[in-house]
Amino acid sequence: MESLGIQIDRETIERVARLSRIRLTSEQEEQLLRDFQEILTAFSSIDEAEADCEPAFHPIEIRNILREDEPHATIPPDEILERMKTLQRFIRGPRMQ
Amino acid sequence: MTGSDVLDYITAVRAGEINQTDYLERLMKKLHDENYRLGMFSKMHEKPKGKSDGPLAGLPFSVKDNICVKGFPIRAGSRILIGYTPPFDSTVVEQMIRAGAAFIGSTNMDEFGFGTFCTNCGFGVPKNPFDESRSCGGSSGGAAAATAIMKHHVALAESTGGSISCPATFCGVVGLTPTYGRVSRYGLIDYANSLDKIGLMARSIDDIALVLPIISGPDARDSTSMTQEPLSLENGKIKNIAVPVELMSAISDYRIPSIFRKALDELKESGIEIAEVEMPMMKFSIPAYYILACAEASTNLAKYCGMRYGKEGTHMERRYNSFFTEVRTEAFGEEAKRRILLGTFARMAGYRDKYYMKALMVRRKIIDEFERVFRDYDLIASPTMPLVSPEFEKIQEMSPASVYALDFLTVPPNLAGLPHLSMPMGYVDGLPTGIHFIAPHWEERRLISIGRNWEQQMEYRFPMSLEGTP
Repeated sequence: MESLGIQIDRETIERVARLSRIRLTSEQEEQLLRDFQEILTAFSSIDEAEADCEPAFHPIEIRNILREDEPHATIPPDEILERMKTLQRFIRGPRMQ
Repeated sequence: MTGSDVLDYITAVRAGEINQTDYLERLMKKLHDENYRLGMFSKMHEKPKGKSDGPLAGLPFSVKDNICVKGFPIRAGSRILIGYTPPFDSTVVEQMIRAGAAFIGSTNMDEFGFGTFCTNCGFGVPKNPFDESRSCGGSSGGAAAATAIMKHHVALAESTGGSISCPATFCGVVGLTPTYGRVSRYGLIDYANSLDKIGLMARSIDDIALVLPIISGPDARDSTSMTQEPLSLENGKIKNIAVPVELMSAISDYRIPSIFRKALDELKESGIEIAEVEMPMMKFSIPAYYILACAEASTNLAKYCGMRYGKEGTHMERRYNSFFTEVRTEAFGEEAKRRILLGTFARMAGYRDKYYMKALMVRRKIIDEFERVFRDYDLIASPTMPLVSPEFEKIQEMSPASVYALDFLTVPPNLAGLPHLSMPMGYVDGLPTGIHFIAPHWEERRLISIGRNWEQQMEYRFPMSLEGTP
């Protein structure tokens, strides 16, 4: 399926799901392929927009405003840690290798 | 003419004529029964407490389920946040409590804000109080339903692409989305950082005018709030309003433009000039918005992986990718997965310029186009939604793309970060419709002015007026 000049196929869906850390069943892949085709075809109109300009990362102008670099109270770390699985005040997670 | 019951209530609390503690206790009892029927609240507070003084003395307020309240479960409508209890108050909650208001509970929403009909919810789909077979609108659906049935209440809601205006319309209440950056987002669970805005729902424009100054202002914990211009709600005369032809021509339900034209006639009678204008960039707003919103959502939601917040993964023996994948696959809903995948796709190497960068440039053009119109007009107006609230059965038959397309009236001001106001416009077969006003950046006072003008002419209907009186 051609959408915005880009081929969308099942392999693309599988790759995107893998990158997103989401596992899909075969039926879900089929359904999402159909959804992507419909959505990206609908969105293809954006190709017609003449918009060779500076991108707007924010809708308003954002300027840096600096404060004095002074220590101030924040949430006590223990209050945050007590909401997580920890071991000796380290957050527990799965093994890397 | 519509007036404010909230102001009368606060005055009575401050004068000691209403004991707010007793009032809240009785209100919560009644509200439990209504919540069982309508499913507005994700969780209700067991014993709300306000103050007997302050500008919002004893006023009940709810928060959308994505605004953090210290020690209260907040889940952004997502099962991936089951078990999360924030260790802090969001800035807006701090401000409301300091002003004397009483937090009564969190309202149901589409998961992370992903929806037009408030049907993609992890903790119950709210029903429209005007007709329980119909949607409340999304994504702040629970907030709108709660506002429609309570006499003395304001809702803190949030909009990314229309999540205040749409449900406000379907439930027949007033919804204000301020300028991006006007209200601190500290403590808001992100959907799309460059688009998210906390705003208000209420039953009258005076209620909005009362609460907006309390939640506005710079907050060092949200850098995007730091450069805002001061808020002034001084009443000013609205001279003229522009109506974009591109938005009107895309509405298929003939009943909506018909009521809208009558509304314009009434505004003309009050001395406001109305003119049609061309805004050709509007037609690109849906693709630009969805590409940007999904791209930002896909990065924001990467942090939900079964550790640190909410749902904990149980298989620590697994390798990290397998562990994260397991939790995310199990806990994210269907629409969340679709948007994460769309956003990841739009940011992937090879597609980034074609989708993400193009959408950012289109956003610039859309902002420019609004600024051009605002050089000659005080406000822009259109209907808020192109339809009345549909039945749940009909919604099930709609494809994702066709649902996204319905946001074409609410997305443009959200994409441009412009303040906008939805107000009840009239009724079709007993169901509410909405009129949408858009103002230049930081010009919320124009919205309050037109809102007051409109309420001089319009008598709102509410499905019920629950209160904590004996």
